[in-house]
Amino acid sequence: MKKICLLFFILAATCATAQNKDYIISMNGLGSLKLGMSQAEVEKVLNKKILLPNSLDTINNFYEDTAKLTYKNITVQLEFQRNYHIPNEFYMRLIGVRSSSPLCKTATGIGIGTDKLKIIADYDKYHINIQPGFYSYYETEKGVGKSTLSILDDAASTMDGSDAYTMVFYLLNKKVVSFELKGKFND
Amino acid sequence: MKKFFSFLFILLSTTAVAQNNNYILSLDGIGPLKLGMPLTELEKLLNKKITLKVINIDSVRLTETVNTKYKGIDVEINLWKRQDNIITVDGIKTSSSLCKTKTGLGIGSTKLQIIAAYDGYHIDAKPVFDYDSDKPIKSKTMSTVIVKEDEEGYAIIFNLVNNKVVSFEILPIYDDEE
Repeated sequence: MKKICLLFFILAATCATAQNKDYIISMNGLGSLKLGMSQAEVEKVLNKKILLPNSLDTINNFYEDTAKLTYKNITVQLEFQRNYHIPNEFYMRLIGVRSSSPLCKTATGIGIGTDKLKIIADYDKYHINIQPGFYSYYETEKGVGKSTLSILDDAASTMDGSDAYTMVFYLLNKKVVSFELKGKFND
Repeated sequence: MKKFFSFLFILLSTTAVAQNNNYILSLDGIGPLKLGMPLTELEKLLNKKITLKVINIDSVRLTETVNTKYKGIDVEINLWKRQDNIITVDGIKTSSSLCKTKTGLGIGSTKLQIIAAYDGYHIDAKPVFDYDSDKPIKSKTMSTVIVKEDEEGYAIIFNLVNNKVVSFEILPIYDDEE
């Protein structure tokens, strides 16, 4: 009986660790969803086909597309971008992951509800940019108490030409309400 | 006698407040020393003539930095000759411990204190990089915190060593890409 309990405990602990790893927020992705992955690689992780209409559009030739999907039971918005390896031939590559799931946390425990100053203290050696409103490249959603805190890795900070990663936290009244991970690839 | 002490107290308090106002750091200057101020007004404020060594001497160069004293503290002032030929203050730098923001930020304040004090502002807190080699090298001790009211415009730059403020700069920052 004692042995069964021990085995059960080990099994439960292993499952919990594996689950937690699936939701770890890092500069280069969320769990096993890594920025820079091809659409095919992402489909393998999610175990399902992803529909990206823009990748099939040969008239307007949109370079980017997003898809709202479920990853390990949480809702994520994935952003893809065309990557041309030879002229007129491309594959869609993952360049952004966005979620507001409370299951997701950084290795130091930053997640939904975390205070702005804790993030700054945890990422002390990084470039931190704070802007009022929910800021994105295309538009800013203004509003009282809304702000955007971005953590840039050294490549993103210096724009030195190597692959660059940015972790973005959207805050309401100084607490995280959602996050986005962005990659910029230079190949 | 009691009245005399009251008068003395009021006089001393008023002088102290006036002195403190001279050193208040804001996004547009230090006390009455303001960005955009014409050279003539600056000379009046400093109560001295500034001898230019570059502007109006070198016909190509339109900027010049002068080191001077302002109300007993050392300041570095950037001057710029505008298109209308008026020379104005375009930057101020100091490391005086007398200078503080209204909320009390000054020499020795920390990065977290600055960010907490400027809630709702545009803030860029970043390590200093040395760009002299092939790949930028990140400083282990030096960093800056830039505070702006808007995406572009006047800014206070706090220079930090080991996360403590060692000097300030007040500059206009504009996006050159536009």
